[in-house]
Amino acid sequence: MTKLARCITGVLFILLVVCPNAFGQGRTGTLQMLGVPVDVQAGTYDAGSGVFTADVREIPEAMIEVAFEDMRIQGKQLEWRTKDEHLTFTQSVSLWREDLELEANWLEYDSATKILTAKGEVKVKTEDAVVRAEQLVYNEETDEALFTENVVVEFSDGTVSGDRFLLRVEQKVMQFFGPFQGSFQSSSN
Amino acid sequence: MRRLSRRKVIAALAVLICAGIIGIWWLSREPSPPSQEEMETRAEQGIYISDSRLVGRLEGKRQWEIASASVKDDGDNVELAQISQVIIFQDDAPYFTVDADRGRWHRPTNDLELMGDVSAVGPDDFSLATTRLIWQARTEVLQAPEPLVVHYQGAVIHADSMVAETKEELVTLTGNVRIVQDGLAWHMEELVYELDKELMHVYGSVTLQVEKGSGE
Repeated sequence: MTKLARCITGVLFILLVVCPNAFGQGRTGTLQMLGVPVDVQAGTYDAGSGVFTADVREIPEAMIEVAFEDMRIQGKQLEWRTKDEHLTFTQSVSLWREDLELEANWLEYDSATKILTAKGEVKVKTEDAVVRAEQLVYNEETDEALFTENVVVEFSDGTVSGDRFLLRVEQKVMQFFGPFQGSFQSSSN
Repeated sequence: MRRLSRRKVIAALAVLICAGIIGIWWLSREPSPPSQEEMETRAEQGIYISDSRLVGRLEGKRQWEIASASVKDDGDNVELAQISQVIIFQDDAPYFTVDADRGRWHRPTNDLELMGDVSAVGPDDFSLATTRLIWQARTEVLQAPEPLVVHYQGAVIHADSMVAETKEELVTLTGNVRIVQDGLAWHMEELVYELDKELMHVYGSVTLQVEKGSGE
């Protein structure tokens, strides 16, 4: 397998695992606010607008978690528009799904546009690779994932870095826009 | 004058002596406990009104009205039984109707306590079922200190207790609070609901389950 093929395979794996229908309409999910003292108000639900907001930044041991059947997300601050399933996590955001972990400072999913966005020190980690960027935008409709700003794809034996990195998942096409560079350790084989 | 024979005199004395002994025994015996009938008769002593309609007012405004088959005036407290209808008024107009087994009206404070199978029906598909409901007239606070179930605008709410502050339009539900509405199932320790703003403030750890298709 060539380095480039391995690179594509690794990154495609990331996108195939993290993106498809992660937050689509009609999912059954559970939100939990854990570690909040009984006398502390950490969440508010607006019954009129259907928006639930929660903030546990001031409680070190507390965490907000949204769990679906095959995935869970944690963060310290949440806005959940339950009527249109628009979800925004802020601060110390982590996402787990099968063999993948995603970390970011901010994560949003909009079910109307079917777009998942992660911002701020985005780190996607799988068994094969780690992708770092400042922003990830995945569009469920077009099945495209765009990593932007200081993109670095790390493998066990090399890295590829650039500013703009697009993956067309179904077509298995990977595109770097603008300058990019790759470095790989030489193989003894 | 007829002369009495000695035998007749002895027989008469014997009868008198026996009667005396029986009389002394009868008067000196322990009093027996009252029968059930006697006790009921004693309990019903006092001012007793049947088929009455009581009206509670505060500053001239009608707050509640109770139709009751049995009313016992016991000084400060008026005990109500066989309640057929309770109407809670807001701005002098009927707001809630309540069914209850029995109640107590505390006249000095105008507080009203309803007990037994208490169920209330109000506007916006509101209904409440509990075993004790207390209306504090001065503060206009409605308390349900025992487990309750509320139906309101399609939501089903369970809690261990409730305090509704009508002036502030605040409802506080405490203990094992569960709410199911529009495919959302909440579970929390305490909830404060601002009625006018439709804002629900949740306290402590919270679980929210979202059923499939709830967002559609």
